[in-house]
Amino acid sequence: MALLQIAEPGQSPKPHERRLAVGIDLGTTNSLVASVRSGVAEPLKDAQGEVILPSAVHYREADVVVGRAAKAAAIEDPLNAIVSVKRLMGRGLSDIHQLGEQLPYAFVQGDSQMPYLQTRQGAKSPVEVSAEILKSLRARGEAALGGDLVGAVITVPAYFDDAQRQATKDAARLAGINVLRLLNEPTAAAVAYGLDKQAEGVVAIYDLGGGTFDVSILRLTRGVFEVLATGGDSALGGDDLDLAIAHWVLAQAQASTDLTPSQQRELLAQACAAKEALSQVSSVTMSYGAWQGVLTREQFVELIDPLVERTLKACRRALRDAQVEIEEVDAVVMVGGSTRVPRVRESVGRLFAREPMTDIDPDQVVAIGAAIQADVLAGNRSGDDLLLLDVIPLSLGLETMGGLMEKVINRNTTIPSARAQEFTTYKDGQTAMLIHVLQGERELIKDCRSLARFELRGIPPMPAGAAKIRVTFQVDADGLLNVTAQELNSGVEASIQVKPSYGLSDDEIARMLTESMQHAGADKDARALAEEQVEADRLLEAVQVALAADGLALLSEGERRDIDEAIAKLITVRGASQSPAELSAAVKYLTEVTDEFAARRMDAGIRAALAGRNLQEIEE
Amino acid sequence: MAVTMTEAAAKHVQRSLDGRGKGEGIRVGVRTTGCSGMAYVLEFVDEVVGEDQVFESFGTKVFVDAKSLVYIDGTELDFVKEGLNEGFKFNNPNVRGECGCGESFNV
Amino acid sequence: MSECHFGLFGLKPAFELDLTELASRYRELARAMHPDRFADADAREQRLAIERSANLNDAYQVLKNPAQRALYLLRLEGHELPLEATVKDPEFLMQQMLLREELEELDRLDAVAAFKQRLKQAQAQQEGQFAACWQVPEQREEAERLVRRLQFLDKLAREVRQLEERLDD
Repeated sequence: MALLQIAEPGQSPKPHERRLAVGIDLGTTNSLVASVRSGVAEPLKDAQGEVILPSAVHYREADVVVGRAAKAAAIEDPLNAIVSVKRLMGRGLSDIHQLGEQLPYAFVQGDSQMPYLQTRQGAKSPVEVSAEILKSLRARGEAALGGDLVGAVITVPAYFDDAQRQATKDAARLAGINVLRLLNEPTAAAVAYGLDKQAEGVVAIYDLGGGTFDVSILRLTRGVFEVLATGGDSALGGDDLDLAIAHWVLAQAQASTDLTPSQQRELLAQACAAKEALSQVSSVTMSYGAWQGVLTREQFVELIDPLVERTLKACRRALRDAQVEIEEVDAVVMVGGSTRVPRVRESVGRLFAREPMTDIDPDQVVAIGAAIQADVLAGNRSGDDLLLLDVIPLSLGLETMGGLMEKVINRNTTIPSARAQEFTTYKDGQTAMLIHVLQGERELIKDCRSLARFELRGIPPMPAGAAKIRVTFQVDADGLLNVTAQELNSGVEASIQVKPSYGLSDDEIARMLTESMQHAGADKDARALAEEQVEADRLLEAVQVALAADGLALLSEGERRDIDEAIAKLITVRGASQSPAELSAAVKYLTEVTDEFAARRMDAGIRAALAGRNLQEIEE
Repeated sequence: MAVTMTEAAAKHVQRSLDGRGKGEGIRVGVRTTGCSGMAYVLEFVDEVVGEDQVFESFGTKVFVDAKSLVYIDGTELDFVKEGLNEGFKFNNPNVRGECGCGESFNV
Repeated sequence: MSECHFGLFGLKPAFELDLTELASRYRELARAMHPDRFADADAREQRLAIERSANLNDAYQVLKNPAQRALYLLRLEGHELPLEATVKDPEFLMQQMLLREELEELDRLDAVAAFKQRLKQAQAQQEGQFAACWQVPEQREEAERLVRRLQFLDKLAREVRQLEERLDD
C-alpha cells in the first residue's frame, strides 16, 4: 500500500488524487527542496541524508553530475564544472565581463544576447545548466513523496528583474516542472517565520545569499503578508566577501592577479573557508604559493565593511520607500548562510536597534516558506490563513524620444498590476509599431536595463495620428510582464512579437525542449495533433462542468444556445478531423463564445467568497 | 475493539501536532472509493465530536468513528521508510485484497 | 467591471475615509481575487484573476492617496481636469516657489525632517478645504484648484524622498 501522510481535517485525498507539491530554493551556492508532509514543512533529504544540494553542475565525458561531486570537481576541471550559475541568469555578455574575474568560464555568444558556456559537451546556456539542478531536485522530491509532482513553487531574489525571472521559469520548463508560482525569497522567509511565530506587525527580512542581496519590509496582519517595499542588489552576495579576501591574499603575496581558472577556484575556495572559520575563531592562516600569512577578524572586518555598508544603504532606502521608521520595525530576520558572519549580524542589529532573529535555520527558511505556499497552491490546504501580496522591485518604463525612460509602473507597486498607455501612428497607413520596455529608476535609457522590444503588428491602416492604440502593461503574480495592444477605433487586437533583450527566444527553447526529450524521433505533426486534442478535451470538460453549475443562473437562452452550438461544433471536429489547425480554430471559437460566461462565473465566485467571509465574521 | 499505533507512529504524530501548533490527535477511518472498495482516512482532529471512540497509544489520541471501526478493528498504525519515501502504514488484519495501484483495498 | 473604485470597496464616494477600515476591506477583497486562489484553475480563469486583482490594487492606490482620491472624486462627478491647464492660482504659486527654493537649499537629513513636517501640515490644510467644498456645485473651480495644489504637494513629497536618498550617499 502507498504510504500515507496526515491530512488537514476533511481534506483526505481520494486515491489517485494526492496533489504532491514542493518548494524549491534555487540558490547561487546551495539549493534545497522542501514539502509539507503531515502538516509539517520540512526539507527533503537525499540518499545520503543531506538536505543541501550544492548548485554545481559538472559536464563529464558521458554524463552530467549535480551537487557535491560537481562542486569538488570545480578546482581541477573549472571550465566544465559550473558553480554560481544563478549569477548568469538573465544576463548579457557585457554583464558577464564585469563579473568575469570571479567566473572563469569560456563564454560564447548565443542567438539572443544570452551568453552560452563552452563545455566539453557543447555550448550550454545558463538556463540549461540551472535546469540540471532543478531536475535533480525534482527527482528527489518525487522519490521522497512517492509520486509525480503537480508543481513547485520556485523562489527567486526579490530584486530579480523580468529577464532573470523568465530565465528561471524557462529552466523549470526544461526540467519538466510546472511552476505554481515564482516566489520572492524574502517573502518566503517571512512566511516561514510569520507562521511559526504567529507574528503580527512590521518585519524586515535581510537576505544575504551567495550572489544576491535582498531586503524586504513586510506588514503581517492575520495571515496576510503585505510587502511594503523591497530593495537590494542582484549582484552582491556572500561570494563577494570571498572575493575581497582573495584580493587581499594576492596583494599580501604580491602575486599577479592574472590567475588560471584552476587557481581562481582554489583561491576562492580557501577564501570561503577562511570567512566561515572567522565566524568562530579570531584569526586564520592563509597561504598562496610561497607566501603564508594570518588574516585576523579585524582585518576581515575592514575588508568587508564597504560591502556591508552597501547592504545597509539598501535597507534604509527600502524603509523610506515603505514609509516606515526604524522604530516601527518589530523584528528583523536574517536569511542566507552569509548572515552567520558576526560583523554582518552586528551591523544589521545596530541599524535596526534590535537583535536580529536567527533561530530559524537561515539555510532552510526560504525552502520551507516556499513549501508552505506550494501546499496552498496545490489545494492541500485552505488559503484562508495565508495571502501573499508582493511588489514589483524595479520600475517598468518605455523608451521615449531623446533616449529618455518614461516610467509606466513604479517600483514597489503591489502586483498584479496593470497600466495602459495610448499611442498613435506618425505615418499614413502605418500598420506596425515598436515599443522598447526597460526596467530601472534612472532617467536615461542607457542607465536602465533593457527588457525587451515589442513589435505590434496588424494595426489597421489609417491617416497618421488617427489611430488610438491602447497598450496595456500587465505584471502578474510572478512579477512577469505581459503586453497587449488594441486599436480602439476598430477594436482590433494587435499581434505582439516579443524580442527579449537577455532571454531565450522561443526557437531556442523549443530546440532545448526537443533535445531533452528521450523520444525526439516522434513525428512532429502527430504530436501537434495530440496536443490540440488534449486541449480540446480539457476545454470541453471545463465548459460542461461550468454549464452544469452556473449555466441556468448566469446565461440567457440565446447565450446558452450559442455556447451549445460551439460545443457541438468542437465535438464534431474533434471526432472527425486530423488537422491540428482545424481543431485549434474550433477550440478558439468555443473559448471566445464562453469568455463572457467565464467572467460572470468568476465575479459570482468572488462575491460568494466575500459574502461567506462576512458571514464568518458575524458568527465570530 | 481496538486501534493501536507503534511507538514510531506515535512519535511522528506528536511531532506533526507540535509542528502544526494545534490538534487534539488524529482521526483514523475508512471511506468507500470507486477503485477497489475502500480507502483509509488519516487526518488531524481539531474539534472533538461526541460520537467517536477514542484510543490512546504512547500518549497520543486516535479518534475513530463508529462506522469505520468495524473495518479497522485490530489495526495497527506504523511509520516506515521506503527508500527516500517515508510515511504511515496501516497493518489491518481485516484486509482481503488491494487494488493494483496500492491506494485502496477491500475487506 | 464598470464599478467605480468606491463601489468595489463597498463605500459611498466621499473624501473623508477611514484608512484602517479601507486597509481591512482591501485585505478581504485581495483574499477573494488573488491569482493564488485560482492556482489550479485553467489559463483563462487565471488571466481573469490577474485582471481583477490589478484593478483592485489600482483602486486601492487611488483611494489611499488623498490627492488621487480628490482627483477621482471630481472625475466621478464628470469633471475631467485637463492635463495642462493654465494655473489660475496666484497665491499658491508663490507658496509653490518658496517651497521649491527651500527644498533646493536642504543639505542635511535633520533639516529635511522638519521640511517634511511642514509639508504634511500644508497637505492637511488643503485636504480640509477640499473636503468642505467639493460637493458644492458653485465651488467647483475652487475644488479643481485645490486638487492641483494637492497634486503639487504630492509630487514635492516624492522629491523629498529622492533627496533623502541622495543625501544618504
